[in-house]
Amino acid sequence: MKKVEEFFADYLEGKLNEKELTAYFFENPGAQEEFEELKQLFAELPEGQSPEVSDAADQRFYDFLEEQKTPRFRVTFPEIMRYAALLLAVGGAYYFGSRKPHKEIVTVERPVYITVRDTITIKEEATPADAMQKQPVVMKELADIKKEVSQINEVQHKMVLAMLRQESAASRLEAINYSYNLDVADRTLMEALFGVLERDPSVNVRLAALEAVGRFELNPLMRENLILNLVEQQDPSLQMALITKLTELRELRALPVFAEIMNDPEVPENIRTRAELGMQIINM
Amino acid sequence: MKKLIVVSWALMATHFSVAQEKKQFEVKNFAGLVNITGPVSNLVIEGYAGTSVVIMAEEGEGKIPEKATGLKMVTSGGLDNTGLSVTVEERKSKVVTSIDEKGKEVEEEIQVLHINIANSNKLFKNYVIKVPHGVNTRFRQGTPDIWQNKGALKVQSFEGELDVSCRDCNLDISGFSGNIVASNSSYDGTTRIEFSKLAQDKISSIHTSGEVEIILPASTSANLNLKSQRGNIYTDFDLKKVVGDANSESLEMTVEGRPATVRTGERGTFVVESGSMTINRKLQAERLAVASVAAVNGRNSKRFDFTLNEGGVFMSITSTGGDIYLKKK
Repeated sequence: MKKVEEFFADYLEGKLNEKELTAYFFENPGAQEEFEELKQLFAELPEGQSPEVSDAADQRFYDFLEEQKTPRFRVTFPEIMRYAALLLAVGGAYYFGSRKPHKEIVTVERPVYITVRDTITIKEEATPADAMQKQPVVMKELADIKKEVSQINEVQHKMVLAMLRQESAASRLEAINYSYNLDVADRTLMEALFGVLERDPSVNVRLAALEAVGRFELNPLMRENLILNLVEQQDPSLQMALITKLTELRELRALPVFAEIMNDPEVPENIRTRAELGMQIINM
Repeated sequence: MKKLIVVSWALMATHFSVAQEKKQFEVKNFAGLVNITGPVSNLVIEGYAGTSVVIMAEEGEGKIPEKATGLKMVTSGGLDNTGLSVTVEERKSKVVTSIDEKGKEVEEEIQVLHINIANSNKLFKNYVIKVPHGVNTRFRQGTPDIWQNKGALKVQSFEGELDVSCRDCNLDISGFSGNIVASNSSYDGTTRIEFSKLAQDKISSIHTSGEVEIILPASTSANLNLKSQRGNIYTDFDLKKVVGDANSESLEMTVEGRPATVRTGERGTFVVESGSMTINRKLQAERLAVASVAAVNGRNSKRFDFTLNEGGVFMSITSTGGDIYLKKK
């Protein structure tokens, strides 16, 4: 029985038996795809290269193809080193940072950037157990890195939540700026920011919190919270900011609240005008 | 004739000396937080190199009604205990002052001096509250008196952290040294802040509805976030636009098992440059994946647009309805 490569060799030499090939494809599902891939590879060979290849080169080519077929762990060593270096840098920065007094850790101007977590999936064709068996050192390193990242995350979250409770309005603003470095999908963080938006004694801090929760755009709960907040809101600056944000989001459910504001004689005129404009934009 | 002139001069001098005579109330050796609530009209908060908090006021045109004989005035803070239509109360308060390296709150007990000035006060006028340098101060406007003209709140020679918020006022701050968190929500109110020195250890934030004028020493270093929603921004500083911003940063991501390059776009959106990203809105996990992409966007975007001189402390200046003037001192 011939192999795909042999058929392909025949094809290159122009001696291909179409009937035999069709029968072969019928018997070996997937073979056609492999054949087409070879054809494609051949077509992509650089110009000027002779199709007449030596036996040794031929063998290397087949070896290469064989190698591609065996399942293996796809993360290359340099790639792992890259992640490891990045995480070590972050971890190191954090470690050295944590030895200094607190004020130095939370410098807002130069936030410690954490690498992208959760959303990056390291592609593995082998099962973790397989990979563990084949590359135990690498897998252990990866597990350690993951653990380290989650620990750093936890401390950072705790820190932001604690910073939001500080007496000084400037320090709370700093906490909100810092929260931009954290994963937005974190529920506790979102709730804490909404807490600030509802209750903080400083208008500036509440406005900053509003801007920060704006990143949860796709979260329906965030939109509901914004509408509820607008209903209760007394401060003209925040009313204005909330109307602007909800208009930007084209949030239909905000329309009744906009209408109420528009018809409330106690609300300053510029805000009523903005609500009216918002209604027109959302209805467009 | 000469006599007449001398007499009239003497009379005028007496008149002015009476007008300028101030009653005062003093809280000696105060260190902590000063928390002032009251109307903005005719109020000056003044920093000085002393140790006591001093409240001064001139007698106004109004008189205590006959029916009030033997009664005490009530302010939003309680009974008038200063004789100046002002309630002063010193309380110890446990507050979070900092965070330790493990992310835990450090609570400290600080002295808070609550000063409440009566609204619509006719008995006293031209209040001056003198605050020692380095004492952090907070001001909140009491219920605005809609029948009065917009009042002007003045802050002079202040040193330290100032947190000031008013809803119906013109803010006029001069000789300021430290960091400020200021909000002026009055639509046609003006705000002017003239710094002697901008503190580099804590951030400053100024949010106004009307026009705002910020005057900084020419050598000030800062990272600025400037936003004027319906006005323009003018400056004589050589502002440097922050380059290499979020828009140029790309990230390799895998969403739904397929690699995609995600680039952050304008206005908080993200762009998938290659690969594909299918989003099924019904699935929470996928929504989270998308939210994470958005978070990556948030993470990369700089919080400031311009640097002043070498760059330094973060400072945001926002106006929703007016122009911003950023000037050299």
